[in-house]
Amino acid sequence: MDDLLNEFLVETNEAIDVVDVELVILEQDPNNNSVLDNIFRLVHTIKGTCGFLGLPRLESVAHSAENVLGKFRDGEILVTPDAVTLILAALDRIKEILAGLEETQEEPQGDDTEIKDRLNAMAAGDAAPAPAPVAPVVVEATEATDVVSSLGNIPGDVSLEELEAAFAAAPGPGDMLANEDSSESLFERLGGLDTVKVLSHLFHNRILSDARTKELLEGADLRGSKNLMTKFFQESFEAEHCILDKVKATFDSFISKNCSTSQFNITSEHLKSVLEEIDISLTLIDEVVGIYEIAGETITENSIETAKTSDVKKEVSEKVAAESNLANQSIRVNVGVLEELMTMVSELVLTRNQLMQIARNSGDNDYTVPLQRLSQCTTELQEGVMKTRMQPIGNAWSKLPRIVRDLTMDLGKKIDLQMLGKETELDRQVLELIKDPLTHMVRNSADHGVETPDKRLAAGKKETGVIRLNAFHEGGHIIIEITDDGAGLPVQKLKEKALKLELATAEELDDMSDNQIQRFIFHAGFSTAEKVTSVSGRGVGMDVVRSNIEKIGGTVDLKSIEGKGTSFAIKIPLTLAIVSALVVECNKQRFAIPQISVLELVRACPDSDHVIEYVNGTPVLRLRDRLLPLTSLRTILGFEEEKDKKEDFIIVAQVGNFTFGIIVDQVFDTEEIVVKPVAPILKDMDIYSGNTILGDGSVIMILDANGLAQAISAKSDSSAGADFGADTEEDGETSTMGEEKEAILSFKAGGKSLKAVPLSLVSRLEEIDVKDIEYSDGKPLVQYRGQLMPMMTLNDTYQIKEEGRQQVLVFANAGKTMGLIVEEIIDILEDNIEVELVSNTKGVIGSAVINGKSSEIIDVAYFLEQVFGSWSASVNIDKKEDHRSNILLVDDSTFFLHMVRPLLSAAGYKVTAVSSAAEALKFRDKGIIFDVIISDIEMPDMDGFSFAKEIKSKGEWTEIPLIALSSSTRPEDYDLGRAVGFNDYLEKRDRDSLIKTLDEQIRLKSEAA
Amino acid sequence: MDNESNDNEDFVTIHLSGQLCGIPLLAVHDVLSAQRITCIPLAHTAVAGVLNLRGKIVTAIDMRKRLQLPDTDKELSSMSIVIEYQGEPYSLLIDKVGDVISLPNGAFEKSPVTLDACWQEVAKGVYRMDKELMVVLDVEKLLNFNESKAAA
Repeated sequence: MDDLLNEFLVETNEAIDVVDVELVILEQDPNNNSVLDNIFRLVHTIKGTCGFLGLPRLESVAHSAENVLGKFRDGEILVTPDAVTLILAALDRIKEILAGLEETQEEPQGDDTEIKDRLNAMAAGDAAPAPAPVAPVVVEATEATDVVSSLGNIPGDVSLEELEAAFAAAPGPGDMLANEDSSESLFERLGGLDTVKVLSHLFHNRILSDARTKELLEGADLRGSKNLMTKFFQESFEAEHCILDKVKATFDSFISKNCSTSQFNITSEHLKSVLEEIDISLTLIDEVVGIYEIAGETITENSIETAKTSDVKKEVSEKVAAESNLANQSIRVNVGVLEELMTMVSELVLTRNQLMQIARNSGDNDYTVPLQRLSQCTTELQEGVMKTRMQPIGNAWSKLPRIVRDLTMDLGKKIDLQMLGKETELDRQVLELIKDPLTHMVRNSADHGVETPDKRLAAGKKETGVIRLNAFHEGGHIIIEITDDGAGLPVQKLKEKALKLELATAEELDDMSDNQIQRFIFHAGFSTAEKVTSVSGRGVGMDVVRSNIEKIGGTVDLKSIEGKGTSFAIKIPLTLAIVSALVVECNKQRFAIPQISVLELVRACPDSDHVIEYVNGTPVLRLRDRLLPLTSLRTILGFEEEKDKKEDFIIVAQVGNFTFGIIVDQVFDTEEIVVKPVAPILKDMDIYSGNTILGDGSVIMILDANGLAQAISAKSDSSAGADFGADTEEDGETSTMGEEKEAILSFKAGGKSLKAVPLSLVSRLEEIDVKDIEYSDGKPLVQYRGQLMPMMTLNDTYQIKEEGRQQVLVFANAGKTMGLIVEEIIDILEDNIEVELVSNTKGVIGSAVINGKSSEIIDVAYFLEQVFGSWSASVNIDKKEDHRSNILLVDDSTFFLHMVRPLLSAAGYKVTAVSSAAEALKFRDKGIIFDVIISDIEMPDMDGFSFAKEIKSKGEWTEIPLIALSSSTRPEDYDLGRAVGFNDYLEKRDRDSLIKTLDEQIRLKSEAA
Repeated sequence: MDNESNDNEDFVTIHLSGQLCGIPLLAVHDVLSAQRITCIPLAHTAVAGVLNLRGKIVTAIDMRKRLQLPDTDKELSSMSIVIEYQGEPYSLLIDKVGDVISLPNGAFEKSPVTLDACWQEVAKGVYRMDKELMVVLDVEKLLNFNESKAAA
């Protein structure tokens, strides 16, 4: 019984979930018959099974709901939202009872009269009067009369009088209850031959009166066929567990034509209504219908085949057939079995690895080939088992339409729920864990996010709000976006709330960006809903969501613009138990690095193309014309560096858009490893993502690329010696964000003072032999990459060496390169350049404190001008002087102005540089027109956004393309920039795209003109 | 000794740098001989590494380091006992495993206040035995060393 009940619970719960969704669809599309049929079928099955298991409460509720659905189907009641709400309420009641059933194994006590009455009232609404329970016999008799008379004078062996006599003779409902003794056969319990005769008569008439089933009995002798039917019922009921062949024979005999499944279902419905009319108790009805359907199944099996082959016009039957075929293609497997299977496969993979290891060591032998096959099979098996654990994310979404629908009803909103990427698959475990957070977030969006229709209309939006769910794979992760076009998160309210909860002080809040403030919603106890609704606003929301998502190694982020909407992005790992990983060695220990974070492998040794070079002891690698920062795994893990290494292996890894190299001692091969989590006491070690057992039985640690990147950036911070602890707390994003800090190359070139230049301006570091330096026109040159590269010394005090090698900083611009000869490269540091003393010396911008030492900042622009000044004509050969575009450059940092101006001049633009928005606006007042305006965002007094707004609002500059150039490239800034009128938004360091964008904007403008 | 089981507690005794310690019998899952241990760079000093116990990964804790005892020059730390803490198996590396003994509750005393802070933290108390004293180790505290100030 327990197994049976369990199965029932699982099936019924699933069915109800489907009905939930389908009802919502039906509500939107009331004429969709296939949906209605499906709903009806499911509810009917629930009812039937309940009856079979003896669950009267469930059964009666389902029955009442089915009645209403039946009326829907017959077109007697219209599918109205009210009606759907009522059915949904009935489903909820069923769910409640099911939950109770699951807990106690028994139907919980409770009174369903109210809901049943409502359903019955609904069913009775426009329909023919339902049988009044008070005087069943009388009403039934009259209805039977109606039926008979409506059919005209059909010759039957039962006259009206006989019928009435039969009814009188048949035991009443009360007696029946007393008689319900399971030892008696169903036949007797129903009330013997008399009842069955009445039943046959009514049932027969029903079949004939229905156009869909009429053909079944057509042409047959009515009296004979009725008798046969009576015999059929008698036999099947008496036999209890009926002998199918016998039943089938009798059934066939009274039905002259082949019966299709749909027809059969109709007859079964008729049978049921007849049984109800003659007031048979519900349990008995289901028993009868159950037997009839069992009999029917065997009978219709053949007809399904015929239906499929013989092109029966009735689509419905085909559909049913297709569905049942589909059902047969999947089986229900206990999750425990799958988990066990997964564990076994993991073990198998490990053993396979072990065998392969042995085989590799022992060279070719007889085992090699079979082992290969074994390996292949194992891989396929593993993939197969993994697949069984994958489920489309749509499963987690199935409840959402219903939830949103109910909310729209409750709150009087109009919401369109769009779900994209339903079929995106992810691990079953992960799916289970994100289900609740997702539901919660959608509920929040519907409740807080989307406004009421009148508010939306007032705000100039469409009446119907949109909530969009979008799921997709991205680089080993699954991203789920939940976007609404609602009110957005109210920053001001959040601020007040944060103050009230003492999460931050007013000063701190003033310093925070809107996004930071909006992120407060992830704090416990934070709810801005003015009133607590039944739906949300109890302050147990987003913090739980976040912690749940973080529990499975995911992250959640939000983006919200007040008045426009909110977008949440959940990023969760696929967390597949088996991943392919690269096994490497460091200090005689092996480690695994997941393949997914490895871009490529580089072998570096002195006689190969790739050589590790050092800048003040910091290793770097030239990789395809770029310098790749390197860190030795030994350094990260705190081991001694190995002396006299002949070759190094470099793993090029990427985290976000930070690419770096990790030097390891040895690289073995890739292995499929089974990721096992590390013990909790090692959890806070970011550089390991887990551990695993290798083929040889040894345990190795799995390195986490994210953690490694973090370790590297942490190291560079500490070596910079500055106290930036507070800034680096934003977990590892420092490497990509950079804020105002820049990589600075510090070097010496004559004199005692340190010189410095932003690394981003340096294309390459070279070392050239002094002998290679040639002189032309009295100026030093070298042949460099097939071009002549002019060289410069920093000033006259420093002379090129007589012999040996000389270090050179290479600057490139517009296809031309120049070299700046320096004495010694000291270090690469991370710091912000703040020029404190402006210098009058040519080639020097001024002095700044970098890493605690005063350094002279080199004016690259000056040197570029020095070298290319005379050549500028040739550089800009295609750009005639008077056609040079005018550019206005606005930036509060003089340093930056100095850096960008020469770049732009060298690229052939005429640049006017000012250091504040106010100064820039003076040009406008004078009526000077520029071709493009480039502006910084972070400026005192008037920032870039307000500047852009001002420009676009009035005056002669409204048409001038605007480009924002900022060190902050957060997406929300980007969006804001676009919103206030910037044509493009660039990162400050991105010199190449600056030129490109400039050209493009100028081209666009001239095209438009 | 009193044989009434109600008043007695069973312990697995272990030797650590000459000191007799006890761990409640029911907490002990396994006793292991020398195992191949993979060390974990950068981990807490008391974490000796991880080992493979019948396909399960077990974290090994060096008890000498944990209790700030001097390292042994000889390969004494060859045995370990496996215990479970918060559902995860841990193996405690010790010098030697002794017997299983049953001790009357009456012989139990709180640790002397003068005990070293590190020991104070992990010791539940001391049992007075005929010839020596046995320190009862608290498994939970032993493994919860993230909060303790033990050698970092």
